[in-house]
This record gives sequence, C-alpha cells and structure tokens, in this order.
Amino acid sequence: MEIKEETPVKAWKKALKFILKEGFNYKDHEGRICKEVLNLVITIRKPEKDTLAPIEEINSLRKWVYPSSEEIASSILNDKLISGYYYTYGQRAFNFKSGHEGINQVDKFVIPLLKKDPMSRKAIIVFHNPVEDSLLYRKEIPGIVVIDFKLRNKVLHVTAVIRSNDLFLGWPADLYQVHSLQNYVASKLECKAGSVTTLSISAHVFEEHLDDIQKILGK
Amino acid sequence: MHTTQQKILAIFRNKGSDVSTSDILSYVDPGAEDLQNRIKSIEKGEDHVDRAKLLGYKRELAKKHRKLLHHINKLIKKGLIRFTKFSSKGQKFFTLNLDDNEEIVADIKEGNEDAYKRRIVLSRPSMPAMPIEGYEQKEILVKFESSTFIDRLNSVIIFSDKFSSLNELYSSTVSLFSCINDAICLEGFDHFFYENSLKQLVDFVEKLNAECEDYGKKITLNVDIQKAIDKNLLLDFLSLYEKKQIENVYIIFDSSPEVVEANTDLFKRIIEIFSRSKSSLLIKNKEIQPAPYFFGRSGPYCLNKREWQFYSEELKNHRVLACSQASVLVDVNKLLKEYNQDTKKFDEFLLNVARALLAANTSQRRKAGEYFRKINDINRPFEAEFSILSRNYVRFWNYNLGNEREREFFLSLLEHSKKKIDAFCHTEETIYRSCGMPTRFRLAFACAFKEASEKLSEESYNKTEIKSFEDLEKKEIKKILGVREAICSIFDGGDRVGIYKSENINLDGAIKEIVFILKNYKIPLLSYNFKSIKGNLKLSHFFATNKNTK
Repeated sequence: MEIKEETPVKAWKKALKFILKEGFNYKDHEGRICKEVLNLVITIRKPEKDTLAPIEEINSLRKWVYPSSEEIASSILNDKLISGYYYTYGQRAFNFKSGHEGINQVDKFVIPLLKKDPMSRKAIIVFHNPVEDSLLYRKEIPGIVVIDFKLRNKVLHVTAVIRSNDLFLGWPADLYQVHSLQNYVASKLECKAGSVTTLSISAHVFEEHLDDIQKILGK
Repeated sequence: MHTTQQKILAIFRNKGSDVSTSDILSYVDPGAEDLQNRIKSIEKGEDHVDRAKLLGYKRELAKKHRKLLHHINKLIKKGLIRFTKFSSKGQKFFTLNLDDNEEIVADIKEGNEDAYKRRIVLSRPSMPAMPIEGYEQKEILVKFESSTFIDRLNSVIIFSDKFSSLNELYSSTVSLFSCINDAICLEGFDHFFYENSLKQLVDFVEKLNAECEDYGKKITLNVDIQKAIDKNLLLDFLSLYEKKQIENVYIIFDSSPEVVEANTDLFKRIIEIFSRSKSSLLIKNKEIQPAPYFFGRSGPYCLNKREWQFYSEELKNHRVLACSQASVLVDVNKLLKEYNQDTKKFDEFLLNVARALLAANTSQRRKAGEYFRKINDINRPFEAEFSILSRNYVRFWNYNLGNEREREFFLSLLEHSKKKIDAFCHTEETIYRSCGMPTRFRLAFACAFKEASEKLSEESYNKTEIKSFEDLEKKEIKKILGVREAICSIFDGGDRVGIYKSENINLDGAIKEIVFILKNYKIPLLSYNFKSIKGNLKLSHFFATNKNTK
C-alpha cells in the first residue's frame, strides 16, 4: 500500500485509517494486541509544511508527555550517546561504533559523496549495528534501519526504512527526525529539501490506543 | 571560543567550584605539571642541575601561567567565571559565575560546520515545573530529598564480587555518595566472608558506618549463607557488628524456608546474637524475591524480579546498577481525607505523580553523563545501560488504616491505579522508543519509613507482636499477615513485614516461627524484631529456654 500526500498530518491520518480498516490483530512479545499492516509506504511531498502538526494533535489529547521537538531533533543531530538512552539515532548516524573508531556516516560519507557525485545511488546511512543489536537478549534496537538520500534536479529526496513503526505515537517523531536530518544534509549541499518517504515494514497501532486514534480521526 | 578557554570551562564541569590556577594549568597544558615537578625536585635537592637550567624551567612555567591568565581574564570579562580567593601561598582560585538554574552554552569552533552540535554545557540543576506542586502545598505529597531530586539517584546496587578487595569496594562505595541521596546495596557481600580477616571486615563496616553517618546514607550488606563462606567468621563478625551498634549498615540474609531449615544451627546462633542486642534479624525469602533487596532512609528498595532474571545475563559485567531514580512520599491519611474516597481524583493524582517523575527523569537524563560520571567510571567499559532496571518510587505512608473497610477500599484503589500507572509508563516508553530515544520509565509502589521526611503525619501503625508459635495460629495474626501479604503483592518496590517478639526467646521456637511465616505467606522481606523483649538476655538464658522446649 502506498499513501501519497502533500502534508504530514494528512498522510498520517490516512495511514491510521488504513491500518484500522485493513490491519490484522496479533499479540506481541509483551502481550499487547497490535493491529498491523506490512510494508506501508507513505510519501509526503511537502514535509516542511506543518511537520509538527501530528505531534501537536497527540499533545492535544493531554494524556501523555511527548518529548519536545528540540529533544526529538537533537536525538538525530547529536553525535553523543546520552546516558539513560540505550541508543540514539544521532550517535548511530554521526558516530557509528565500529571497533574503536566512530564512523560519521553523514559528514564524512553522504555529504561528500553527493557533492562529488550528485546522482549517486550509494548515499545511505545505516542505523542497525549487528555487533550490538543482533543479540538475542537485546531489547532495544533502532526502529529506523536505514535512510537513503537521492539528489535529483537539485532537490534532496529522502527515504527511511523502518522495521517496526507505531504509526500513532512513533511515526510523527520519525518523520520529524528524518526531515531534520534531510534539512541538515540539504543545507550542506546547498540544495532544496524534497519529499520524505517512509517504508514501515511493520506499520501498527496498539489496541489500547484505539479510542485515542478515533478521537484524532474524528477531528 | 579559543580551545584553551573551552578546556578551562571543561575543568569546571568535572571539578565544580574553586579551582586553582595550578590545577587549571595542569589540565590545560599537561607539560606544565612536568615542569612543576622538575622545579620542585631541584629545589628539594633531589635533582642536581645548574642554576641556569632551573631559571629556564621557572621562566617557561611563568610564561605558561601568563598565557593561562590571559585566557582566564577573557573568561572573567565574558562573565563566565569569577575569582573566589587567594590561597595562603598567594595562588588564585576561580569558580563558575553561575546562579541556580543558569547554564552556559558555548559553541566550539565558531564558524566551523560542526559547531551546531558540539557544545560545552555547564549548569546547575534546574527543577522543571511539575504537576504535583499543589499536592506538596497541601502536604499530601513530599518529594524525597527535594534539593537533590534531579541530580542524584536514590539508590544503587554494587556487585561486591566484582571487587578484588574490601579496600577497593570501600573506596568505590564512598565515591558514589555524591551520586546518590539515600542508599547503596552491596549485593553478594558473602563473597568477602572467606578470605578476609575478622579485623578487616569489622574495620570495613565501621568505616562505612561512620561515612554514612556523616553523609546521611544507608548501606545494606546482602549475605547468602549458602555461598562458600566461613561460617565462624560470619558469626564472629555479627557479634562484633551488634556489639558496636552499627546503625547505618544493615545486613539482610538472602534465604528461604528450606535454607533456614537446613542451617538451623547457624540461624540459632544468628538469632542469639540479634536477640541479645534487641535488634532486627532481616531475612529475604529468595524464593519470592530473587533480586537484590535493601533499605534506605526512605524505605525498602528492590528490583523487579522478572526483569532481574531476564537481564542477569546481559548485566553480568556491570559493577554498579541504578535501582531508583527519584521518589515521592504520599501521606495516605491526608490524601484520603482530601479526596474523600473519590477514585477518579486518586487516579488523576497518581497520573500527575507519574508525569512529574517523567519530567524529573527527563531533566536528569539531559545531564546524566555529568551527574553520574563516577558510576560510569566504575562500570567502564560497560557504562551503557546502568539504569536498565531502575525505577522511580511512589512511597506510601500511614496506609495501614485501622478500619477494615477503609483498608480494603484503599488496597483495591491502589491495585487498580497501579495498572493504570503501568499502562502510562508503558506508553511513555513506547513514545520514547518510537522517537528513537529508547529509555526506561517505570514506577514502583512501596512503603515509606518515618525517617523519609519530617513532613509526614504522625505514625499510626500497630506492631504485630507474637509471644510464641501458637500466636501464628490465631485468627487475628493470620488476618494481619494475610493483609501484609496482599500489600506486598501491590508494593512491587518493596515492603518490610515486621514481627515483634514480645517474650523470651526460645531458639527452636524462633526457627519454627520464621520458617512458618516464610513458608505460608508470600512475604519477600521479614523483619524478625527483638526490640519488645523485656530485660537483658544472657547466654545462660538461651540454655534455659532451650532446655524448656525439649
């Protein structure tokens, strides 16, 4: 299934409706009932337009505490692993652990690569680290597995592959993070930021949030 | 900002206030320390060199000092640091020019493309606005140790067997005092009852006790008597421990009804020692709770047993684990009076408590590297995930309501609210995980101790006294223990069930009582207390009572 919309909030609501309608139920490892569709593709043509609107809609429920937009963006733009977080996307992107060295996949690879060869198909950054994450007892591993950057006609399009994606509570933050990184790379390449596409391999919502989702969809 | 100025600010991040120019110079320019040492050894006559060389060294050092002072003056002009005092030798001392809740944010490499994400942040902790302040004003709720609510953990667990000596364990334990505001558990302390002398063990505990007294901490030694220990050494140690009236270091025996039954001789002697000093014998039933259990001023602490079992493999290399991040104390009497048994308001109250603790954790996490550097130092190279099992505590005070109906209502209210709170925590973890910032946020319910805060209302608990084994068969005692068992099942963060012996001690009878309670009630921690025994107990007394029972 592919959803194409101008703005994040429209795409988000359409995706939620689709999961509610087409998703199948199953119990996850924590005993929670999920409604899931596989391989949901969402493309937002203008991600810069009201990027934070889905988060604001969640906050309007006044039920949970959502991290601030500053905290969300810094977690993908900051290369340091902050104590208390099991991992951060920023650390994986800018300081990916490989032996004793940290690899800066953004500044030392994607940006120089696209400067040198704008049409390159190699500009990806990887978040999954098999050395740390492919362990049976590991509980927390990155949801975003890879982000791909394509520079076409001086516009930077980005695709994020997300292995497991809570479409209700997680996707709004994922989109904001991917878009923040897209803006950063685009500014370095002196080009425009284009579309953002997310491929959610497991796109799901939890049964316990169904009432809240209905409230959001009813707005 | 110049790199030297960045380095100067960094030293304040690590050392805090009042840093001398020599200390700053040693950090900023490692060669300066070498020069200082050379000058010192020449002046002491340990090193023979010509006068010209000495003057050369001094000139070089003076040059480095001048350069440093140039940068210090720049930082003073910028208002980032200030002069505090002269030492007796005329050396200048400086501190950060910060008030509470202020922070310095300095971009490194101005104009550099990396400047946006590399910053030095130096700050004093700030308390975010929390949706519990109204409850605090009504004294329904008290933040435990509010002055260090954010920048310290409540408690940590140190794994004793990861330390090669008592000295190493002692220095590491004491070094963590600045990171915690309540308690430390020395798990697996039995490890040291094998190769150490009695004197070493007693010295260790005495020193710790004194430090705890000065710094207001509590320490628990967890001892599993099934481990390879020298039992005579343990008994000699306990005798001295009791004699010296160690008040800040508790001992919890990691046991089970079967272990007590299989080691009756040892336990009889332990009971003898504790009853003579009229103190409490603390027994953890590891069949009910295999994870570490310990006490602080605020109350008991423990880890979630399922998580402990699940993560024990992953955590086997850690030397220190966080157990509790932040705690609040709830005065149940005042709470119920205020809300007049309104379940909705009670739920709302607890959700606000959870939101406040989440805000506290978020603030804490922002500077965790700075606050808990010493924990990371001890865990290196396994720094990550030291808080993987940590929880926040909601402690209840004066919940043992006299009226049976009120008590039942309160217990069902707690049970119902715990489910809601757990769901809230779960969702918050999902949100953070979904945002690519997976973190832990859990709340545990537990009892509070009177010493937790002066603001708590007058204690209204009844002691559960037993004279002999027959009392345990009485309907009223059975009921009390049943209620305590129910409370223990809700208080997943820990509870202490105290049984007071009110008559003379019969060692066989005492063993029988302990085994009976541990076998028949799901009580994780039993405090078998001898405070209510009248008169002084002498050794001959035990012989007499033992004879009587045969």
